Amino acid sequence: MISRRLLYLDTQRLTAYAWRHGKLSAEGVFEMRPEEYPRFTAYLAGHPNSQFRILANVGEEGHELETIPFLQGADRKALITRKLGQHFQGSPLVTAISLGYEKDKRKNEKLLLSALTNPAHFDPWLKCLNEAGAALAGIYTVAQMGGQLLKKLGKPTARSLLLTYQDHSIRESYLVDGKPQFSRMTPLFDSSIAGIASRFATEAAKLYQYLDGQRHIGRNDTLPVYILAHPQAISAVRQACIDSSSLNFEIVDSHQAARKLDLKTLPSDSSSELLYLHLLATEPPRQQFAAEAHRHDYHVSQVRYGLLGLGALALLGGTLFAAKQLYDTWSLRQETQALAASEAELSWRYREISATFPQLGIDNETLRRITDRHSELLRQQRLPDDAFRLVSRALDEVPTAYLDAIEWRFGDVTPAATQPTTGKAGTMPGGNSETIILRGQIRLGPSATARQTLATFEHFVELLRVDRNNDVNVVQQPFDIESGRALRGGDADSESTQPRQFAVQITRKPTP
Amino acid sequence: MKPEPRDLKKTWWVALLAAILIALAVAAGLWTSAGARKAQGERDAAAARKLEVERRLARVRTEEQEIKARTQQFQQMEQTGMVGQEKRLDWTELLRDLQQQLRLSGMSYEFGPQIPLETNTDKGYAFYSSQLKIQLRLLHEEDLLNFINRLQREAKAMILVRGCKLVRPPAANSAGGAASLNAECTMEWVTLRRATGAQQP
Repeated sequence: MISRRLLYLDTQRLTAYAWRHGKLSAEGVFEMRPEEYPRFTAYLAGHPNSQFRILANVGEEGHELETIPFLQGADRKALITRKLGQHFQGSPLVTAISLGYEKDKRKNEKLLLSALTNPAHFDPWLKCLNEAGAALAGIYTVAQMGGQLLKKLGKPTARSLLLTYQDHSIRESYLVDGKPQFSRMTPLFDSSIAGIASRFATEAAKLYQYLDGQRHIGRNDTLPVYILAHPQAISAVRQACIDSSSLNFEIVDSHQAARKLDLKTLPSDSSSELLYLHLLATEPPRQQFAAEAHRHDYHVSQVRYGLLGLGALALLGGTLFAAKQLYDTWSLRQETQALAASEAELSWRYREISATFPQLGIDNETLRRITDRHSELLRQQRLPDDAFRLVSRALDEVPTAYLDAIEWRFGDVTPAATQPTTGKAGTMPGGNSETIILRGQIRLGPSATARQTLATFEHFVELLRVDRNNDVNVVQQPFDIESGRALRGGDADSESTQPRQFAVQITRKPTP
Repeated sequence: MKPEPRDLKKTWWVALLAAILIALAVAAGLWTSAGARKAQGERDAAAARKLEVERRLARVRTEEQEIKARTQQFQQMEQTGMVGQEKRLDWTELLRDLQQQLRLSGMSYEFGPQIPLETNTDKGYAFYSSQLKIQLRLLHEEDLLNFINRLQREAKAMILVRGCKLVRPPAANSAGGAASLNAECTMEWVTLRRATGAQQP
């Protein structure tokens, strides 16, 4: 947290206060003498991380109303700077408050120009601040704080007089819409309650006459007058300040006001500087009087605190994120443990049931694989008996067909091709078909003609085709009478006595 | 604000501190995120394992029947003698006995080297095959069928016949020879055993 320190500067001395959680504690009083300045510099150097605000209560203060054309940006700034120079003879401690724009076509801007017209009064202190490298946030005046004080206390601030007592003087301000149009400080030589009370009454009347004379107010206007007083002084002030046709007094209890502002250090007398200082610590006005050159270290301080804030924010964000992640991790681990426990219980139940299965010393997956493969191999376990029966039936019908050889094969791959080299996996024949190759002769006798031999062979082949699943292919006919081949002949006797060779291939898918 | 050299002296350590704080925040975020990701992975894996066990438990009743049937099948395989190392001596004795019992006039055979039928034999059990090429002299083709039938029933292996060829010998055309057919067959003798190095059950 930024350490805030407030410097109250009056005509004689500067008093340093530390503000912390609504409490103000005086840390040093520095008289306006050259020998006090090094002590003040040392005090400032002792608080390198603090930000300082000066609240000035001096007599040399000027306020001017000004109207400038509607301008923006650098032009407006240059014009205001020129106007401030014209009115306040080049004082560097100046400020301008915009009071809004006129509601005509030109939209001229109304300004309240304010200045601390005796900069020499501030110079030694500003020099000390500069030497110590102290962060000066700004210079403010008691008059400037008046409108804000009334606003916080809930008092109407359209047009009013505010009279407060501090450091043996009375500050009297004429406020319009919370902005000081005129303010002056009157020294007080009798600081007794009665003296202060009577001085409030006379100064209010004098200020009214002055404002009337300057035509700030109308001749018959009635102004509310707010006076801050200690509870013990209220009755005396009330007796002294009697309402009239022009002035309407309202006495504000300074302790009640302090409580309303959350100031925990109550004023011990009718002095109002603690109220102003607390207000300055909590809600400083936007406008202030210090030049930018005097606020350099304040801007550096802002950068430092900004960096620290950024780091702290990042750390906070990272910590919160990490905390959430850690919580998520913890929750997930809890869930994992619960799942593992559940899994263990289910596995135990599974093992209990599995224990009732026949035990072979083989896990179930291997058993499945072995038995599946065994069944697959069993489907390939065939005999040539069906094929032999098929051929036998045909031979019974055609006794003149004489077989020399019968070859039976199962599967699409020939056995020789599946024999791999040692050490490599072999393959079983693919497909589910068997192939039968028949080689033989048709023996019809010496008188048989070629036509009779072919007819007998055709009959034999038809008998082999009796099953629809049989794909019968004639590889060699007893007589080559096809157009694509050569046909030879000679003596009929010698031709007919020779046995006629044939070859037939049958491919079939046996029923399982 | 116009920066001055002396400002650096006031701000460098604050900037360093801020950088350290940011680095700490980032490091903490990354470290805890990694932990959370790991925990998420472990949780997902545990959930998947539990789901798998749940499914297994749900089908255990039907699995029970299936395993019993498969066990019976395996036990039958064991009873036939096809499980374990090849028993080539038994095989040759069986061939000789069958020849005598079926009164086959001639027989010659050759067993090839044993080869695995699986490409991946490191899964415990694997099927192996030895190829038999056999020549027989028969009186009738029925002898061949009986011979193969008996082999398939009595051999301590699964017999898969790949091909058979029956040829009438030239001498058979002229009467007088005892045998009327020559047979030549190729068969696979399939056995099941643990992969190399594994113990028998």
